[in-house]
Amino acid sequence: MNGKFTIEQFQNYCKITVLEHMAAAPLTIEFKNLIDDVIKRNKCKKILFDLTHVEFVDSSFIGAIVYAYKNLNNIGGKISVVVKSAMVYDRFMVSQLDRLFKISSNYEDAESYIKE
Amino acid sequence: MNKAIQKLSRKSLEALIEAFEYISSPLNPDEILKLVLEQISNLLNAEAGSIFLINDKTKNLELKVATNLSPEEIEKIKVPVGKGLAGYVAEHEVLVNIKDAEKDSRFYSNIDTITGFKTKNILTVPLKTSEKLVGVIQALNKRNGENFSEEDEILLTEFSRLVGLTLEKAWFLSQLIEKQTIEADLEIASKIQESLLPKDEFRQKNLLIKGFYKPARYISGDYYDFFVLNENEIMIVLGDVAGKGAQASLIMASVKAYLSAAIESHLDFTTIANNLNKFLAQNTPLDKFITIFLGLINLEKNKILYINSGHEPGIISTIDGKFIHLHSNNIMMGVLEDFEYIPTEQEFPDNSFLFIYTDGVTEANDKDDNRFGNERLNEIIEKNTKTPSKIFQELPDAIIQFANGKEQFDDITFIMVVRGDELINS
Repeated sequence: MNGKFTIEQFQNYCKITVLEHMAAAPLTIEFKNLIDDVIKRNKCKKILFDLTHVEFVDSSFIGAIVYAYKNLNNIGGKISVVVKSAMVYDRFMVSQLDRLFKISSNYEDAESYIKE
Repeated sequence: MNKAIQKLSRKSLEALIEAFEYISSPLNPDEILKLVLEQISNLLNAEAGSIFLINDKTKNLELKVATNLSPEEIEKIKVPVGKGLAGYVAEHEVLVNIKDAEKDSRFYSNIDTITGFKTKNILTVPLKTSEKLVGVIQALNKRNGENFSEEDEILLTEFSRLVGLTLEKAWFLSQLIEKQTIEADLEIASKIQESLLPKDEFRQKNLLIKGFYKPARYISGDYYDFFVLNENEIMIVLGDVAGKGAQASLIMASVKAYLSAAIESHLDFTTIANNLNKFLAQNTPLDKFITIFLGLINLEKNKILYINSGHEPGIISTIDGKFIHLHSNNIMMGVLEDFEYIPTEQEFPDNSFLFIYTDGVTEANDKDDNRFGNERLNEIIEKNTKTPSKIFQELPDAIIQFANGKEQFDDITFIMVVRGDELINS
């Protein structure tokens, strides 16, 4: 899309892939705008976040994922996140966000959850 | 002196100098524009004038001042670069002298319709700073039924050049003043925020509580505190609001206010956590949350009851050099309004200490984006299991040394609770 993210729309969900290694504050505003677009313009109620390229994630970026969760949860939607880096995975696990949505290091798991 | 100016009569040259002196006196760009408008009429013997400036975001020319137009009417007039006469001059950066406005297709007659003013002839010149085109200046209707002359063209071109330089200086100064005002406000905010944190270390019986706080910017979303509930119970807090800056610091201040009120009301530990979470979920933006470590230390029972909501693990270092990690046991706060927080109880005996920190410690980075990490942190704690006070010096020094000149990215905060005189005095 713009070198930082890609958006793909499938039959009943959208996939946002983050292409940057550092998912931190400078990227967050753009990422949040993208989430708004996907929810409002693409009318997606289910979003799969592909963070397999991401090697570092900070709290503001996690905040944007939480933002997506809260918005979609309010309208009966859901999200799932797929990560590859152990640091990123640990960060999500420490936050205990796996209580709210699927966080997986396996793409197929994340995809099958969002397709349900 | 450039060649064009040499063509001006002495009278015009004197008028130009006088006009320049006149518009140079105020510092406010809006005031300058009003004075420029007055001077256009004086200099060129014109019935009216107008100044358009380019909006950097929309790239439209926006009317800023004009003779005979109300502020409301001025606000409405916006012209894309390339459209109309003003747009043509802005696009091509050339002077245009129209002797019969009605016959020129570039002339936009709607403005005459709004004002009731009858435009006969117009002289339009580009307005530039030393770096770029910023707008256009127009003089309308030469008095005495004449047209604008070649001398008028030179006069308005030279005047426009002086206006451009004057505006450039005024804009620069106003940005500087604005920046200084913001910085002064942030310095005050920073002092207020620091005043919300404990001012001194706390010492009671054989207990020491001490914190360290170093924001990445003026203000931050990190928070630590402690509350003495009675002679045996102390509540400690360390929180980190997602994101940075003013929004995070205001949330941090509201956490402080909430906790102070809750403790005054003698609410029990779990209720405080549940209500704080509800308060944050109801009152913070959707992308905000707080990871927080709440601990209730019981000195008599040698225990700590803790709720670690999505925060880095607390570390208890025992006298025999063992580390006990107090891992995240609940979801971060502000996300799920009705979440029921469940505390965990842990032994916290004499001659041990508890270390809690925000991720600004472990995520401090160097120029190659390597992280300070848990290993380096653990090494420093391990080295000082019998001399915990030294951590306050050694850890910040180690982070600075590791960063090797890289600017601090995140707020760095930690708090230590030391039990036992031997460790406290080490």
